[in-house]
Amino acid sequence: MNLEQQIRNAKLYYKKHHSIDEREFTNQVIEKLHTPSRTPSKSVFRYKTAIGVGISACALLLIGVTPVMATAIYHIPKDNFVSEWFHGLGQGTKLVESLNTPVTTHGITVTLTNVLYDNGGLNIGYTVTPGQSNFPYGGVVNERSLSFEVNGKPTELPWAGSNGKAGDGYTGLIQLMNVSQLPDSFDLKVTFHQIGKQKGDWAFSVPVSRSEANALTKTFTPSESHTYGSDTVTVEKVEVGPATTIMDFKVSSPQRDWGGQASQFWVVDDQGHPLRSEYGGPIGTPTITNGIQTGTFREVFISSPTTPKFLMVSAYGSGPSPLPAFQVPLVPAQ
Amino acid sequence: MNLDECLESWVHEYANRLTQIAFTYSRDWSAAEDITQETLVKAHKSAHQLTQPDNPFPWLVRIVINECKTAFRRTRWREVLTTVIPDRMVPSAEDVYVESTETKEVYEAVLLLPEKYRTPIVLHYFEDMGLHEIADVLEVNHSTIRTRLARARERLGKQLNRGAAYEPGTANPQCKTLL
Repeated sequence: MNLEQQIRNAKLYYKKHHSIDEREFTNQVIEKLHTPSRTPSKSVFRYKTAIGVGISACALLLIGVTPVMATAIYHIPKDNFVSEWFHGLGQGTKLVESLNTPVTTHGITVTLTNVLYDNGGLNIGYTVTPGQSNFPYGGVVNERSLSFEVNGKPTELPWAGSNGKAGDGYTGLIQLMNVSQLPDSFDLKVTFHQIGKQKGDWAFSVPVSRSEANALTKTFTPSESHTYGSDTVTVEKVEVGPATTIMDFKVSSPQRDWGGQASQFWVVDDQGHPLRSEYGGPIGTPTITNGIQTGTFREVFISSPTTPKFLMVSAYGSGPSPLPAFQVPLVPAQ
Repeated sequence: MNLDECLESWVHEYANRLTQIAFTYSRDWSAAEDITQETLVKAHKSAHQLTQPDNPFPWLVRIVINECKTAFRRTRWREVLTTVIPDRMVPSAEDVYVESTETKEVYEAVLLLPEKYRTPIVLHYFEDMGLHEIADVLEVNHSTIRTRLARARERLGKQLNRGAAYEPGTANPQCKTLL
């Protein structure tokens, strides 16, 4: 049998290993459609909804507006996307710096509106007018359409993007995730290389600093462990900053199918408010030694308005429901 | 057909296929279902952008791939885990042929291809999409897709210990049958 035929035969394997429960699936889609707020899900993969949906949801949840009002708000161009994303944290402070630097190329204007930089990430708000149609994300950016320079040096930085329609254009957020290796203050150059199908260069130079955020960040080292069957979860360090809360944790378990390992968390503060995960899940690397699989992970959440005295942490294993929660006290080091 | 009927029809017609595509990125069925659900939510909200209502599948595929890439960027560690422990499939005994070691090996070899080679293979061989359709979905030239398919087959051939027939830089005899 030749390779061509073998690949075609592999289709049978591809097709038969999973099928959805159509009714349940439809209900879940409808639920997501009508409930854009973030809720715990059975998935171990989490990611943000488009910013338009997210911001609308936040508006609904936080200020209690009616759906009609929310629709109206959704269409109003946002000028401080970053602090909206962070539920208003840092608004009116030096944490969220207003930029408003427009660049027009090929009749498309991109404006960087705000920036927030702390240990949890570097967040850049922007708008594009007019919007480009016929693209799932409004055509603002894709993975190849952005490049970065740090102090004049081209640097590959993993990023996530979200955007939504606003007015006659789009407004969005670029989030650089792994910022621990970056200097506390530097000149960042961001270049958009493509918007929709229009190629071009929209370049911006922005001085960024996390000194202010660092000064306001509290670090706790609870080293709190909890055991679920053969898995042990240890919350080693929690950094509570004005905008983001970073949780470093370790999971160890016997080597097995990683899908069953507890490595996703639902975190609630001492007031019962859930912390929203910034990047949809933890980032980290597992190692296997002598049959023991150990993962060291970091997850970034949006901070609570005030520093909590403790966090309640529920781990997710392979099932849809969280495992029993355990308390992680946030006690300042003596 | 109103939007809600559209949504039901998309779930009925395409949800399984979209989930299978998402799985080739996430290697996790639960995650793949979540991604497909988000895809359909986005599609529902952007239905006005659908230019071919009689054949929405390529448009939905484009959204699901974008969703997968977005999810992947945020969960880079998962690929590491998947590489460490690649054997997540547990074949049943229903169909000996389908479950044959060779079929499984080819499928898993496809999953191990880099994304730019894997996706064209999945869309072409598993989803029966044409080169132009794939090119539209991935927003690249159709000759790029042709090249990627050829290189993907080279890599698969090597991975399956058939490297001799597909030395880099030489014509791939399989291309003729495809193109």
